[in-house]
Parts: sequence; C-alpha cells; structure tokens
Amino acid sequence: MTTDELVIAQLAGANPVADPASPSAQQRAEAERILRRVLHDAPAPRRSRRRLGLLAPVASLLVVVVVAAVVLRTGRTSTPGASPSGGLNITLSALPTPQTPRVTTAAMSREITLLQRRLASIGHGFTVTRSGANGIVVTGPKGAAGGGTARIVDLITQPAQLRFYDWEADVLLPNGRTVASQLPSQDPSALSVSQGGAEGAGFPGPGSMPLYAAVTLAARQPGQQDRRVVSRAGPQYFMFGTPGS
Amino acid sequence: MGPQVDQREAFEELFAAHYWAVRAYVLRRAPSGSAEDVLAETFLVAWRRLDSLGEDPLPWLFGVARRVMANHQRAERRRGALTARLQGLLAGQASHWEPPTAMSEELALAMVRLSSHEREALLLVAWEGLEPARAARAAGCSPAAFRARLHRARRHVAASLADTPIAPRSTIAGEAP
Repeated sequence: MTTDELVIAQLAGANPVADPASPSAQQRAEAERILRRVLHDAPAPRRSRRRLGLLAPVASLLVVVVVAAVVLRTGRTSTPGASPSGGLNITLSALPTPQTPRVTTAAMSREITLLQRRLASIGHGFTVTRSGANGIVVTGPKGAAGGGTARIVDLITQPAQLRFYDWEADVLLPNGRTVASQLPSQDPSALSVSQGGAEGAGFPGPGSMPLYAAVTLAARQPGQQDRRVVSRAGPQYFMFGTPGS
Repeated sequence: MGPQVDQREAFEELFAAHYWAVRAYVLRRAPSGSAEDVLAETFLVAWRRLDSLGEDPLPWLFGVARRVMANHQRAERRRGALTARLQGLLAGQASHWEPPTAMSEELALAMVRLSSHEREALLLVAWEGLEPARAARAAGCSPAAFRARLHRARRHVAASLADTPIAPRSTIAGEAP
C-alpha cells in the first residue's frame, strides 16, 4: 500500500457516519419530513425554456424589454395621408375590446401616451390629440413619415408585444463566465446577479461591474457567429451607452 | 399527467436516490442539530433547479450542501461574533472543522493543518468515495485542479504523519513520478 493509499485508508477508517444500508424508522420519518417540507414550502419550479429551445420568461432571470399593454384596439376610420399643409395626418378610432368593453377617458389617455412614446422613437414633431369620444388624430410635419405613411400606421396600430430576454445566458461575471453557467455551482457573484440585492433582480449590485470594466471584459471574449445574421460575412459590432448619450 | 406532477415525481426519485448519501455527507461535516435544515435547503435548491440537473446530480448536490453549510456557519459566526470578541476568542480560530472522535490524534492534527480546500478534497475521496472527476464537480473546480489539490493534501498529511518536514510545493511539482 502506497503512502497516498494509506492516508485515504486511515481517513476512511475514521469515517464518522456510515451510509445507512437499512435506515431506521426514525431516519425514514426524518427523510419524509424533509421531503414534505421542500415540496410544501416551495412552489413547483418553472420549466426551463432553454430545453425547449425558447427564451425563458422566468421572473428571476429576465428583464422585460418591452412592456406595453394595449387595452384598446385602434382602428383606422379614415384613409391616412397628407394634410392640406403637406404634413402627416392620420385619424384613428378606438374600439372596445373584451378586456376594455367601454372606451373610457382613462383608456384613451393611456392609448394616447402609448402612441406618443411609439412616435417619439422614430422622430420629432408628431402630435397626438384626442378627437371626440373615441377618436385620436396623429399629425406630423412634412416629411415626418420618413419613407412612408404606411410605416407610421403600422407602428401605431400594431398590437404591443411582451418580450422576454434571458440575460443570464449572456451576462458575464468578473471571471469571464456567464451567470447561467455559474448558477449550478452557486457562485456568489452569479447568485447576486441572478437574485439581485434588496432592490430585486436586474438592478446593479455586488455582482455587477462598471460599464468600462464590462466593456473590457466583453472585449476579451471569443467571437461568436450569430446564425440569425446571415447577410454579413465579417464580424458585427455593437455600440451602446447610457440612454440619450 | 400534468407537468407539475411529472416534476414532483422526478424530484421524489431524485430525493430517494440521493438523500441518504447527501445526509451522510452533511452529518460528517455539520453539527447534527443543523443537519435537517441544511438538508432541506439543499434539496430545495435541487427542486428549484430540477430542470437543469444533469445525469449525475450527486456531486452537484454535495456542492450545494457544502455551500449551504458554509452559509449556516457564517450566520452562526455573525451571531457569535460579539460574544467571541468579548471573550477574546475570535483570534486564533484557524479552522472551524472538528475532527470526528474516531480519528486518531495524529491524523486529526494533520487534517486540521490542511486548508479547507485540501481537506475537502481528501474527504470527498475517502468518505464520499467519489472518483476525482466527480469529486471535482462537488468541489466546484476543474478535474486538474482537484487532482493537484488532492495530491498536495495527501503529501501534507503523509508528511505530518511521518513527522517529517513538508516539502515545498515547487519540489513536489518537480518530483519524478
């Protein structure tokens, strides 16, 4: 027996707890109590959508990218086109839906705010005003359509979509590995990013890092071909910054 | 049969297959009074992560249990910190590991002198009977790192038992096989 084997043999001989070949009734009762405690105290885990090939809307994992609950179905009642002054002029009417059976003032206000946000994302100078009980008029300066009135109409009449982004699969920890890959080993930084601090998940905390450090860390990662982008032969770069910068 | 029923059955199978091994792992390292809480928390993590468990979840369960025990020990230390400071006992607490009574004094002394990583490497092999590759998963490191850790631990213990000076690491690494 080698010295190494001797060390292991001595340790094995000092093992304080043997594997119970036949647990006692008390030990089985303890096991049953723990099993009940786990199953009764915790809700059923949500199925991982990664296994299904989909993005997972698990609350602790996700950042809501777009949240816009449209309570009204907006229908066109007039042909969109140019106003007499040459600008954009679209008249819409709000129709009741099963979720909002009555077109109330509050619902109209929400809808106008939503349209203003959407239009602000493509340019300046748009005006959204209420017209009558259920009418909404969108006007814009000449050339505001920027390539087509149809594009504007599509933008403001499309139902909102709720999308989820599984950011744990992409967020890097200071060690250069993703949060998702470090969660099974209960890495403290990964847990911090995943579960968040007192503010909740997704907020900067102990697991996060300054923007500059994040950029330098990301720059050291190997390139990865995005199979969804097939029109580009070379690398693809992304530019980002704080909102409004 | 709904998905939640499937998940519950899968978890109960996991529990039945590994509970006793995890229980033994915990009892070998934690005070028996806290073992039930540690086991419940460990399997609660497994229940939450049921979909992401691999085909061999036992090493992973050991790793979770080790971290749960560490959290418990940290909480205990926080609770006892004030008392310890008042009693002047905080300094000199080099190791929180208590050797089992069945262990010889020489072996216990050698084990206490090891770092916590080295000690855990030895115990995963000697007490849990894991192969180095599986033990590495339980320890949360690469197989190569685990083998190096295990090698160092064996050498340190062997040297301590032989009451000989421990060779520097560079000498150990440069030794012929």
